[in-house]
Amino acid sequence: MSITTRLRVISAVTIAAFVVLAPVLVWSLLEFKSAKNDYVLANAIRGNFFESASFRDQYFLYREDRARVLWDKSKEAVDHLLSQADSQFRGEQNQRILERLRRNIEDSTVIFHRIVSNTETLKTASGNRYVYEELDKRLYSQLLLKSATVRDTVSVLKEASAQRVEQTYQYLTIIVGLFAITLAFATILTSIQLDRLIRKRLEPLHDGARIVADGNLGYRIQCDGTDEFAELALSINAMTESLQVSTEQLEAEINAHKSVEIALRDSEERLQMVLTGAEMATWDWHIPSGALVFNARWAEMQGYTLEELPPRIESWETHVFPDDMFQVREKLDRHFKGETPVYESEHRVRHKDGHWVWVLGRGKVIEWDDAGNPVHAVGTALDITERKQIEYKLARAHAELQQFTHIAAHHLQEPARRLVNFVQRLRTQIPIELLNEDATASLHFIEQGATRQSTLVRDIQLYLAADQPRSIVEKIAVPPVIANLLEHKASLTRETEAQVDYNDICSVYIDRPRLKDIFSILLDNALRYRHPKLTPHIRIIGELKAGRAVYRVIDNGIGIPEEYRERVFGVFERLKVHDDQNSTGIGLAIVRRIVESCGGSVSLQETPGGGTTVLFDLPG
Amino acid sequence: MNFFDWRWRALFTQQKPLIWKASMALMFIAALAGCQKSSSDNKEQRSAEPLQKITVAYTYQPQSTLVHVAVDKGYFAEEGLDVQPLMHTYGKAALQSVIENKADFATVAETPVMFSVLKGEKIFVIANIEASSTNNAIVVRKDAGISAPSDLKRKRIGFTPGTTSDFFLDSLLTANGLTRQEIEPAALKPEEMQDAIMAKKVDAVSTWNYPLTQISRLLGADGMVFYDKEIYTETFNIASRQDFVRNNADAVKRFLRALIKAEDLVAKNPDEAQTIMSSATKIDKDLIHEVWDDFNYHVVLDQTLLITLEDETRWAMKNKLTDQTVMPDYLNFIDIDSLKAVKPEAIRMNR
Repeated sequence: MSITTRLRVISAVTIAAFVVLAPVLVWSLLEFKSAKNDYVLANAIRGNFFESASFRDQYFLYREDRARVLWDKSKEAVDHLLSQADSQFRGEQNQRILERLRRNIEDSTVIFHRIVSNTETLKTASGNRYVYEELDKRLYSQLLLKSATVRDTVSVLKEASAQRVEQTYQYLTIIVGLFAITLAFATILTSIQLDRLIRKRLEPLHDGARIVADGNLGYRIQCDGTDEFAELALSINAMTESLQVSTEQLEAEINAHKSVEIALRDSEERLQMVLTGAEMATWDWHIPSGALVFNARWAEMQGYTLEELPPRIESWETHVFPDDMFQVREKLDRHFKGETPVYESEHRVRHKDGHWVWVLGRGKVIEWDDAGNPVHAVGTALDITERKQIEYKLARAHAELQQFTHIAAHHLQEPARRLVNFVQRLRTQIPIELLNEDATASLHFIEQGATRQSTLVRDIQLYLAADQPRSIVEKIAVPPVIANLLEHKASLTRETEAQVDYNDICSVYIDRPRLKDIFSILLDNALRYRHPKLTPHIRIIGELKAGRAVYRVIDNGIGIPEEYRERVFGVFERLKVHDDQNSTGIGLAIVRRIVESCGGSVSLQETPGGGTTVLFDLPG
Repeated sequence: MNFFDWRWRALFTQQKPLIWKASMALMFIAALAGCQKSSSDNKEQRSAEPLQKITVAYTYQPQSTLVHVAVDKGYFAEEGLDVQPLMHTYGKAALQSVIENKADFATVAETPVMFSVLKGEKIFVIANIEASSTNNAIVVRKDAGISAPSDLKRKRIGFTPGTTSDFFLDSLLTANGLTRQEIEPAALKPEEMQDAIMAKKVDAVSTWNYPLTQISRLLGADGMVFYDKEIYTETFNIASRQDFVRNNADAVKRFLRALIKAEDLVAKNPDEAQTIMSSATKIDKDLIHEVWDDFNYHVVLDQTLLITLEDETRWAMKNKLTDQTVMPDYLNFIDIDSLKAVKPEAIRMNR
């Protein structure tokens, strides 16, 4: 039998006991109330007796009507009380007492009225007056006697009522006590039964649970029957089984994790070895709190030990070269805003000795909050002072070379210009009759060669300067630049009737001269190598992709065979099929050098339907 | 079924509760046995004692019913008393037996008691065993020209001096504006009343039951009975000598206890009591039954006795029936302690 059923049985038995006892309890309460009412009534009758006795005595003192009338009223009141008592009092004994009381009161009434009557007689009596006086005394004695009897009878009635009150109270107490004992007994019995049952049935569950808790997941609790404990045992067994399966899976996963951990540890060790080998410092920055954890190398780069620098971001900020701080902050902000995939900065930090150390800082935010703010960033720092020094030397050498190239170009262009000038002067000073066909041709070749040399020198200058910005690097809107170029190339476009579409082009982050060089070269190529039978149609499209401005310059020209599409980016590379005396063969090389110096790439594709598409990207 | 199996198994396997229950049961039985033993010991002890012989002077009157019942039912023997009856026709004679030390207890109305006290007799009333306002009356012959109490004037009226008959006659006369000087009183013994009135030696008699009803029955339509329940209340009492009461306090209590048993029987079985009275007095049960309701049989000591004694004393002094002129303190002649010891609720006397 299940515990629920047992509890229901016990509850039913308790309710049955309650149902049996409840009417008895109600009866006892009613009896008690009835007895109390009887007592109150008996007390009222007793009170009336004393009231009546008072009026009687007043009458005998002065023989006045007021006292007599009040005595009569008191008699009416007691008649009413006795009538009430007749219907209220139960029991033969009480009825006998009431009957005796009524009889004595009636006798008292008769005697009282005889006294009143005798008093009236006495007012007129003369000869035998002493007889009536004696009668008055006799009657008064009898009235006193009856009063004593009435008083005793009322007292008996009151005592009987009081006894009944006490008796019913005792009954009530006993029944309430019995009720309480029954309930207490039922409760205790139920508790004992349940306690024993639970102990007996719970023990195997408890032992089993302890065994399972000790790790023996293969143990199954033996609990017979169909009650809740058996169901609980089945549930625990099912749970244990499930736990066992889960544990086995977990163990397998833990083993796998351990392997991964070992691999990870090995990897970390290797990484540390690499970092140590590369003399690379690491840092770990909790951005909201400003806590900065770094390795010994990080401190060492600035000439400190790990203990000398507090693990705070201030340990880095206060050491950065003030002039570098702006660009460092800017790069950090761009990364924090998600504009750059990683933070990378080359800047100087002050060494403990006072000199400046060049550092390449790289980092990445690895945790963001719900509002998109960076929370946690990690990164590395590498001492690049030596590299920077080399770069500085290289830059200086490059600048010197550029200076030399510029001077050389200037000096190379000067003879060419002079050649052209002198050829033109000879052409005007030599009489025309002296200029035969050979001489004219020689002058033409000299002039052409000199012009070509000048153009070549200029293109070489452009090529050499292509990897460095020639003015401020800024965000530049491309359409105005193209429009300006087309104005300069207006004669050519009119001559070729070319159509150039360049609306809806994204902006680019570059210096303006080099941007103009790129589009100037590409427009020249598109116009120069146009299809002989087609009106040139050039489309320039630019769009932002992953922070890069990707451009396509599409023409419907003669196109470039696939095998030459890479070669044409070489210096002085020209296709014979496209041979042009005006071409130096260095234009696309300049474009590639500019694009690649900006971190981009350039390639050629065939335009669907014919022609060439130049594809390149620049910082967006 | 598991539940009950478990329950029964628990009862048999758990020894402690069984032992405890058994111990409690044995203690309860032992306590009962102890009570029973104590009770039976008392009876054996009582029965082992010799019965105390006492002489009780009582009357054939209905006022002595409780004594008759106690004798007949053996209540006195139950209380260890061997009652020797000394029968009389009226209480005054019974009290005389006590005064003369011929009896230890007497059943007597208050009037003889009053006169005895006035004479200086050292007696005690130990209980009132009866009270009635209708036991005394005057039976008259109509042919004597009496049809109302006022007609008693100048009539010859028989009475028993020194008894309630005497006092009631005076009271009735007073209630009707007459005096003793206006009638012709004739002193008669109670047993002489019937013959006297039947022989027309008297016109009326002041008497009590059973003679009262017997005479009334004999006169039939020729007679009339004048009651006046508002003018007099008779009490019938147990009287004894003071020295006897003091020397036999326990016997007095046992005597009273037997009367209380009789009181209980009379209240619960009036018919049986009437049969006992009929058998003891050789009086027809119908007569006994007829007058039965005129009497209240209660073993008490209440104010009625005291007031009546004092009323009658004033009457006796006024009519020169005694030489005493000072009202005695009747509380000195009423033994309250004995009844109080056996029935405290019966003491209703103001002291």
